[in-house]
This record gives sequence, structure tokens and C-alpha cells, in this order.
Amino acid sequence: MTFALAVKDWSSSPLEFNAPLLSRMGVPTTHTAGALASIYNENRHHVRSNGDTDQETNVTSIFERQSLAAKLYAAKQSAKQYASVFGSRISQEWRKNLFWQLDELLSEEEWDEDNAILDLESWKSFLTGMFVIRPAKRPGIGITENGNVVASWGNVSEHLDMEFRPGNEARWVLSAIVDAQFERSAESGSVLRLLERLAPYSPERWFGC
Amino acid sequence: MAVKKGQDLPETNHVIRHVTSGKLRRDDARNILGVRWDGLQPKAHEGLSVNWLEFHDGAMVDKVKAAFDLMSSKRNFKRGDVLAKMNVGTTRHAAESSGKKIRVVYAPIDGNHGHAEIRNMPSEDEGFLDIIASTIQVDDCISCKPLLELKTTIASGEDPPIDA
Repeated sequence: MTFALAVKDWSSSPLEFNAPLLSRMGVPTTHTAGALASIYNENRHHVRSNGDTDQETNVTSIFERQSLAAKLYAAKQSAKQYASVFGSRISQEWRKNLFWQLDELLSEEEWDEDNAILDLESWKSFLTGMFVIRPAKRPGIGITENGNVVASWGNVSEHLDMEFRPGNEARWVLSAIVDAQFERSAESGSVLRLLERLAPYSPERWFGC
Repeated sequence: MAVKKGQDLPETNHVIRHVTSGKLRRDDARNILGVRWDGLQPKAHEGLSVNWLEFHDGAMVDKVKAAFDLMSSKRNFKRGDVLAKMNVGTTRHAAESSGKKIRVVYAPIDGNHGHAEIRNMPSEDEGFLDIIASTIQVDDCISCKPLLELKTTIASGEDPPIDA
């Protein structure tokens, strides 16, 4: 397999100058960066089998300089990789669901070009938050314009939207019926103290635990 | 259509706001549960950009299609996005209930003569924006997917589906 060789060439010259090499690999030169990213993903084990991690690093950095598709791909891979490391604390089924949500959120077809790409530090805060809360009801996730993860629970009338910021910080907006009264709140604080901060609102209504 | 540029829209009328997929509240199966507060966040010192549905004639579905066509000249819609339908009166009253007075005014722009704005929306007040977003029910979130498919079908010269 010549993929590792192609990877090496990509690291030394722009992708568009590698048409002959891609052609030798059987890759149509009309492929988008997204398609190339998929090919890389499929052949990733060949790179690894060479034991040359520098090449893999180069590939990542090259992709980051390439199109939106490649940036989204890199963001997804980094987030999934981190979740997998962290993931012994998250069930396999939930991890699978999170990866699926990430794929949906960071798909080239659906991405809003005005948004920042997913911030890995925010993703880390989100995973820490999930470990702290351990919600039985899993959240739907979104991404803010500045690339932070937002986890949502509840419905239109009783909801909790929590933005996870780098450094284990969170900002949340909630709506809940407490003692027959509608209560709304917008607050921020440490991810590590989420349960204490949310306790007055009976957070089990959202988390199911 | 007696409303002139800069005038308030009637309370019984409706506007639609383009909300991108990432700003929707969803469950873990990606079902839409509503609009998050940041889906209604205007840029600092600007009004919230919306389109006035009653600017167009016909049934509600025709108004939405016509508004979508106008908005398409300025915006890049994705299949996962929605058009969030808001009743003018409901929106105003929700704002008043939290002590703020907003205006929903007709504000046509080049290429989009049905354009309107919600003015005096505080861009950094998440709690207030959440109150306004909570007036939008799930049924008010109109998927852009069929609208985009219809547009593609018409552009390709094929006959659109009868129920489109």
C-alpha cells in the first residue's frame, strides 16, 4: 500500500500538486477534501503499521490547513479520540450515541460556515460535566458560534441548556416550574459543582436521576 | 399590506427566523425540542433579522415558501436548519412580561422586500432571549429540508410532487 508514501508527499507539498501520486493510488483527482479524509480514515492503519507517528501528525496538520471538510474531520477525530480515552467512565452505548451526534453536528453538508469549529477544550469540559452529573437522560448536543459544546435537556417549558467552556467552566440557562411558579435562571460556574448549583431546581426533572 | 417601512407589524401577523441546526434544542436522537436562546441572538446593536409572512398572499404554506425564496437570496440554508415561526403579539407580550418593550417592524432590504426586524432585543441577555425562544413551539419549527428539495426540483425542471 502506497498510502504512507502519499502521506509523506502531502506533508511536503500542497495537496493539489499530488495529482499524479493520487492517480497512482487510484484516487480520482476530482475528489473533495472530505472524500480524501475518508480515504485517509480507511487507510489509517497502514500509516500506523509503519510505526511512523510523525507522518500521522503531519497528516493531521495538513488536513487542518485544507478545506472545511478536513477541519471538521480533524475536529471529530480529536473529540472521539479524547472521549475514547475518557470513555471508560461513559458506557459504550452512550459513547456510540455521542459519536453519532458529533458526526451529525460536524458534517460538511450541515455545517454553518460562520461557526467556529468544535473547541476540544470545551468538549473536555462537557465530558467532565457528564461524569459529574451522570445523567440517566442523555442530552442532545449542539455547538455555539464560538465552538463550545451545548448540552440540552427538557422541553420548551422546562429546559436546561448548558454551554461548556474551556477550563471546566459552564454557563447555563434554565426554565423550570418550582412550587407552581415558573422560574428562569441564567448562571455560570464550575463544572465540578454543577449538581450543587442546580439542586434548588430539582435537576432530576432533566437528568432523570 | 398597509404597513410601511419602519412601522410595527400587526399583532396577529407572523414572522419567521432562520435558525441553524446547531442552535436548535434537540434530544439525543436529534429530534427537535425547540429553539435555544442563541438562535434568537441578534448581533450587537442590531435588530434580529426575520421575514414577515403576511407580506405574502395565499395560505400559510404558500407564505412560508415565498418567504423562504426571498430569504434564500441572502442566506445559505442547510437541510438541518429550520424556519422558526413567531406570532408578533405573542412575542411582544412575552417581552413585556419580563419588563422589556420590543418592536417588530417592517424593514425591507435589497433582494428581500419581506424582511422585518425585531428591535430592542438585548444580545447579551440569555435569560430574556430564552423567554422569547420559549414562545416557539416544536410545531412552529418548519424544516428547511423539504423547502430545499422543492427548490432543487423546480431548478432541475422536473415537476414538483403534488403534495409539496
